[in-house]
Amino acid sequence: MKLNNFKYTAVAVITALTMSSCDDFLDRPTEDSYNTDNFYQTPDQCLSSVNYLYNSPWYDFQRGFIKVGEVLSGNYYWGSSPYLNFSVNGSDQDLVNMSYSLWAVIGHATTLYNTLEATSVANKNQCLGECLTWKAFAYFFLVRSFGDVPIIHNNSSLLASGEYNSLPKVKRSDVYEYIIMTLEKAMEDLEGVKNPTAGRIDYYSAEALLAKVYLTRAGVSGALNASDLAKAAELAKDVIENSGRSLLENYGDVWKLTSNLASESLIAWRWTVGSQWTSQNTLQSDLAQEGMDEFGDDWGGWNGLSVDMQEAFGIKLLENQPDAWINHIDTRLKATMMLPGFSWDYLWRDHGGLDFLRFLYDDTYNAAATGTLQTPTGANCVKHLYGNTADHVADLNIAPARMAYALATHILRLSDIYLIYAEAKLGANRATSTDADVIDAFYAVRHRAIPSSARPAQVSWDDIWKERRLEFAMEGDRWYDYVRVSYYNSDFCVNELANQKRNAYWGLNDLYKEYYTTGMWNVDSSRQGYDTSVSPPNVTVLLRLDSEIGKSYFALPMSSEDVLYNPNLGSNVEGIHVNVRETYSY
Amino acid sequence: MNLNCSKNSLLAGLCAIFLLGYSPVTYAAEGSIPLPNEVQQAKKITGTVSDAMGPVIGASVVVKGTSNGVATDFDGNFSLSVNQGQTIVVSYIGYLTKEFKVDSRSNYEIILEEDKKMLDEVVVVGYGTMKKSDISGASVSLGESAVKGSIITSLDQSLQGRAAGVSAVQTSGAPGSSSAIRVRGTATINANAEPLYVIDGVPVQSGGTSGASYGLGDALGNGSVSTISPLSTIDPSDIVSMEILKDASATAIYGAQGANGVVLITTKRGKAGDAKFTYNGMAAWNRQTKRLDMMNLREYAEYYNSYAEVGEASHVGNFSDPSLLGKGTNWQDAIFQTAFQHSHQVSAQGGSDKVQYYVSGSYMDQEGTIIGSEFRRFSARTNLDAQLKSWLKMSLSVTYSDTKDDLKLADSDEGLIGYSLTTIPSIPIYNVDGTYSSVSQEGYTNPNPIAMAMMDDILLKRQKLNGNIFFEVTPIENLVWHAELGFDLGWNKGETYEPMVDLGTWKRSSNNGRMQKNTSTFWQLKNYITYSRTFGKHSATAMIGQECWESKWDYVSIYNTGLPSDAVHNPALGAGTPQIGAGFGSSSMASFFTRWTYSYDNRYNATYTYRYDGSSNFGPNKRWAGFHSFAASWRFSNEKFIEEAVGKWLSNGKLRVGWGQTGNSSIGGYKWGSPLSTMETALGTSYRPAQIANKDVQWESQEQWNIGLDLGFLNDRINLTIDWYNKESKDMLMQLQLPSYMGTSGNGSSALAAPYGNYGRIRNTGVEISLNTHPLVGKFEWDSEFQISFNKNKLVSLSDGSSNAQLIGYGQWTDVVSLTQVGESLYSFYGYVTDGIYTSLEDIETSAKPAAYPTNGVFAKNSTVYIGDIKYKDLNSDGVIDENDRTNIGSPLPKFTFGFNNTFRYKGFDLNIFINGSYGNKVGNYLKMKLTHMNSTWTNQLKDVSDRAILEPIDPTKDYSAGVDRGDGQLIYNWYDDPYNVKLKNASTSMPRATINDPNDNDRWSDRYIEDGSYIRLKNLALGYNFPKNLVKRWGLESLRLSCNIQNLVTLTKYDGYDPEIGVSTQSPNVMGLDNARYPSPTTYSFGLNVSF
Repeated sequence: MKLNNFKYTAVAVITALTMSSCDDFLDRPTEDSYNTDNFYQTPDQCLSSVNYLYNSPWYDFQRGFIKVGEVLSGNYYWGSSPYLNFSVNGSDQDLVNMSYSLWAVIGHATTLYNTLEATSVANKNQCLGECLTWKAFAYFFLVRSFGDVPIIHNNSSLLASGEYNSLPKVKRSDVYEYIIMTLEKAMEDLEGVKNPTAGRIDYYSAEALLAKVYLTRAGVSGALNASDLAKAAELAKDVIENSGRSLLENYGDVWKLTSNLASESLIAWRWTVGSQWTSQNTLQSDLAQEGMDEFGDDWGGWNGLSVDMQEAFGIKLLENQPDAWINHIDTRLKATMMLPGFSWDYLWRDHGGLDFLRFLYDDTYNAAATGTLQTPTGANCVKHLYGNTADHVADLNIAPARMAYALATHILRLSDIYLIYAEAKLGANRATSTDADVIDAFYAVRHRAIPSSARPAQVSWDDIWKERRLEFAMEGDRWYDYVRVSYYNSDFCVNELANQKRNAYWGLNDLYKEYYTTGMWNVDSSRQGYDTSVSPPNVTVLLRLDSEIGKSYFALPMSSEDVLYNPNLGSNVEGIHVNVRETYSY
Repeated sequence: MNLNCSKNSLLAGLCAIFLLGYSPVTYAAEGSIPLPNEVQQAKKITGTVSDAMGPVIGASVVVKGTSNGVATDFDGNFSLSVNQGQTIVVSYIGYLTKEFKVDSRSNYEIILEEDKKMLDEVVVVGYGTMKKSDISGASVSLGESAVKGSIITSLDQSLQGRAAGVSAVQTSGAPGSSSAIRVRGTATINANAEPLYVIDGVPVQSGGTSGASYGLGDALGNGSVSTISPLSTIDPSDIVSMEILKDASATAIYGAQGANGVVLITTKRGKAGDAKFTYNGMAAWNRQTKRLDMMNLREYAEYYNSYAEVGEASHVGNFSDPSLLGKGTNWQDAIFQTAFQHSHQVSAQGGSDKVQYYVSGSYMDQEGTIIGSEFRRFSARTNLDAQLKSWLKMSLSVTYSDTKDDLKLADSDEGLIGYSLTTIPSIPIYNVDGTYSSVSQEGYTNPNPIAMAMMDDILLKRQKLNGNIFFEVTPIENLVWHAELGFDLGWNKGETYEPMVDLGTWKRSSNNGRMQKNTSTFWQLKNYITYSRTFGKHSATAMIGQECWESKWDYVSIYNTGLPSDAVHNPALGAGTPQIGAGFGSSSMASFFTRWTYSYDNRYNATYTYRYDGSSNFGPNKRWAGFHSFAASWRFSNEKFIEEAVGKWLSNGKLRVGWGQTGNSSIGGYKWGSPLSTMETALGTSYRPAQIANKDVQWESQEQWNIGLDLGFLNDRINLTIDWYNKESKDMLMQLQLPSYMGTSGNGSSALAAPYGNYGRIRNTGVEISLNTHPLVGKFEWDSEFQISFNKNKLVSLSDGSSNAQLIGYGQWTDVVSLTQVGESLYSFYGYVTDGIYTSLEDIETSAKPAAYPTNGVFAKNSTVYIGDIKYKDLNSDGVIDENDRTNIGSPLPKFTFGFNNTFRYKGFDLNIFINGSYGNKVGNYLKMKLTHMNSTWTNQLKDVSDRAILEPIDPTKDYSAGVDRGDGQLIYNWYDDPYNVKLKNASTSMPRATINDPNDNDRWSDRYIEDGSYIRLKNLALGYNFPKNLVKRWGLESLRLSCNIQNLVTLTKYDGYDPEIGVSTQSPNVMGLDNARYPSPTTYSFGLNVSF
């Protein structure tokens, strides 16, 4: 009997326990992190929720940034890259990653925008404005890279509608209108926010970007549009006069770790070294020679600033003597490329500064010295390099890691706004100008770079075009200059690109080594020369016809993976017109 | 009666005795047997109990009316002290009980006859056991011999080719690596597709399937599947049987965990009697027998020179006269080794009639065939059964295991095999001073693969303690209450370490170390009550039960760089900024279930089960789900009219029909909400939404029909089982696959994760046939088991309202290799179809235009399509070759797989020949793509590249010295830049020209790389010898067996790569059968020793 009692009690207890506690037992929201329902309460939380738009989603774009911006445009030599000879296709890994990244920025910015909009945090407008500025910037890269692209206004409602696999492309001109609309809203949200040195996007950052968008859009109809140019000039002027920002005194300082928060930088990627992959800058790995840092993660030595880029600075390695570059008047040269005789004190400061040739040939100075020059153009990249651990720790007090450093990447600088202003003011007929405002803007940039330069009496479109190349070399922008000009004058672009010196030199190592050991610069045409065996590539493969205006412009193919999901994105399909302002609103 | 039956009967007996707690008789404790000379008229009798096929093990021999009795030993022998005239009862489950009177003889040969009515082997089903004859569902039993028959380190490996309807493909040839087990086809996407393993009632906690979930970061790649097997912690020699439940009527009792099939594993348990010790030892050598045909140094130099001749590279002095060169480094030979493996197990079993025990300890150590890889395991098990009271039984099982894996990243772009194959033969492995050399050439730096294998650590240590304790209470007759507490505790430590390296240009002057400790705790409480009763011709069983479990996990990790020395691998010593990670979480499930079975006159059987599950993985809206199943069978061979008509030759005939529902909930916790993940930025740490939320994520469910027929002929000498099934999974749990413009693609830590949801339907239909025969009986025996499985798989819908939904799989990074479209089978390869090589400029101009066709008609060898490039088919006939010309280029799923196992026995010898194979599956030879893409002069390639398209001038005399206008004003100086003067020399080739820039993208994913993956493999060839009893007895042993075994001796296949058995991709979901330098399965030669005393 006792036994039976025990048994029945046990059964009853166990059954009761399991039945009654089931729902508590099964309710398990995430335990080790916050969730969207219990965050976004304070202004600090609000700002911190936006921070990641400044780095992580952009991570996958870093390589495309250089390959499209600099290799396609002929500024940078990357031996076997399809970007060097325009044979990029839709499954190219860097192109696909670039597309991933830009759309991820838009996805994140949109999701965050919708989430924050529903909150009532005090500084929510500022946060919303930052989201929209980033979204606009990603779209700006997209439309310039791929031409017609779909518009994703609200990703979650698109998901719900199930129409995401049949979205049409939208005409470039309408995408630009969408970007403008987005930036106008961003500026409205950021009204009154002025943070020249906080590293964040403020009102003027959005305005500066809008100026650049107007300048770019001006040619989209096939001819330059005077009112877009006027708008660009007006916005640029406001930024120059009222943003509280100024150019750094020395051009070379812009690229230092200590200038991460310089006010010259209107918009920048804010990398750091974190435990989360994608929080970091990895450009040095692609651009620096083996052994630049301690992590075995540099493989850019075999590439270099193109012969054409060198000649844009007036440097001809096989014709000049080293004096020509060592004492070059333009400070941008040394801030851009490594040439024999150059050294930099902010890099490799634990070795007494980075000396280009010693790095190559002196194994007491550089234990990993290869003893040979790797770059066949003779000029490795300097911009985007942070140096080594000692440099990184000294400036930021953060240790770098493999493919991870915290150097900010400036993607919109004040000098761009000066040149945008100058170019826009030339007007639709691109007439050479003697307008003091134009000359001042142009000279502000040029004089900072070349302190010895005199104020020009007039400025032509060509002057600005060439100045832009020198000022923004390696900043991921040059191809987009070609793209915007191709909108209204593709022949000019095709001609200029076809005549570039995109090939390499041969025999430079002997020349460099001899110069390093003897100080003599003896070019011998039987030992050195410019490679003519590689025939010039054909850039016209990247032209795409806009059948509506009957003109061709530069556009890359869309990621072929997306074409799989959505045949409407195929390279032979043109975008449709959308009345942007009626269809979408913020 | 045949041997197979006797094996099964033995199993049934053991199951019955030790799992049901039902002992047919009560034995006297050995010590209480009076010694013969102490008792008047007592005498000792000995004897053997056998059936038609041989000795019966574990039969009980009892003096009627007393408790004096023993069980027969492994040879059917018994000895017993009795008084003359007493009646001895010999019984064994499944046999007619035999009685005889003790006469003057002292030795008795007893032959038991099978009890036809009780032909019923008892098999394990979920939450109980059933008589085999009552089962209406589809399941397969694998006995101990299947596990013992092959050299395996992980249990799942033994399933290959052994059970109809179960496909097992090893993910890697690494020691202890995992297999992809699919029961009746792949029926789910993304959510875990592996079956549920239940060991003695406790579900195996996998703890993680990807390298990252084991704390190894991305050291093994970024895929959601890794080569690490959760089952490798279990010593296969502790296993006595496996029962694979295939159809839904059998698995529905596991409800939400049963959709992928259930594998019930039973371990050995003790038997009453004196302690019996067994030693099981094995030593084996593993080697890779196949090598790919790579170029040696001389061939490589010639290849390089031919590159230089067409202006793709500049001549280098060392290669100017290849005939002077030797063979150079054979990197492929260097990365593989002949690997030694040995294992030892000691077990003891015995006990009294009240308490039985089985204790074992084992150690195994297996080197991998890739240098530096190794797997070690120590495990110990204790199984204890005790009859505490006549109404109360207790069982306890505990296993502890400790494993250590030295892992290597073998496959993928950054794996050792790929690096070894592509590293050029002109580079030595070592420098003159014995240090590793640097693998660096112009524009090309790779790690020295040998150095990388030997220096970089990827270590995984796992400890596991699992088991259960249960009580079975029989308060009244026919009613059993089973109360059980199961547990599984795991501790893992994943460590990676990259030491400082200074190999010329491969320099890593900052080392880094990472360590992650994972703890997991799983407990399960279950109660079920079974009532069974037989009245007249009716017998019925009802079971009702409850179960709940909770699984908790946590981890901490530390990563740091800049350790001052590599002597100690502790990241805490690093000088860099340490990165610390921590996380914890849990999930739980509560369930109620019931099963009703009814059987009438051994002719009609029916089963109904229902399970109601609640899972914490789902949001409040969709937490609970119920699963029904029913099955019925008709044992028509027991019908009078059939017996009369064909009873002579038809010994068994049963028709089974079943239908059931199961579910799948394994998506991980809180997928229904939107947790925030952290991201460090220069502006401060950011908290960002990790995914798009979907509160309505619900159960993936499955419905399956099964119709089966069991036939036994000629007294079961021939057994045939045929099953047909149709199962349909719906509301598949998966992350929506979206185009990248939805923002959900890219780096895992940067993209917004797509929401989880229930999106599609998959149908698997198939037929399974097993034919077990005993062609020869008697002195020379031959048992043969043949099984063949056909499965058809179809993605019926991906119903999320989108018109163009599909599943994409990647080769490496962003390279699309597979695509599953609605209406097709899963994971088909997707790419272009080749149509020969462009032989001339005219050929290019008159064919459909590829993407690299110049709009201005000016052809340039490095930037436009050119002579010698691959022509692709314009499948949609729109005149251009673009993305839309891709198509399904082959399915990795086989049309059928089969296994054919033969055992021959003669006297003490036994020979086992096991052949398995797969037919009709395609393999994507991703490795071959890398070994023939010819787009770098510093990458070694297959010898086949000598057959590539070679260009030659049409007019060799044309003068280019002053430059020739190529058509757009640009001057060219070489014939090969002049498309008007170039033709293809070897028009019959199918391999494109060598080109660094590859503007036509000749190595795009196309049918060039799709190969027939069908194969027949001599999986196992084993010869064993059991020493004669009387001989070994003299040595004080009970039995002695020597054996040798060769595994994977011969593989017949057309496949070009190492091994046609590829499995699932460790790099990307939705990819199968893609050979991205998979660690090939070795050929294993082993010698074994088995002694009992």
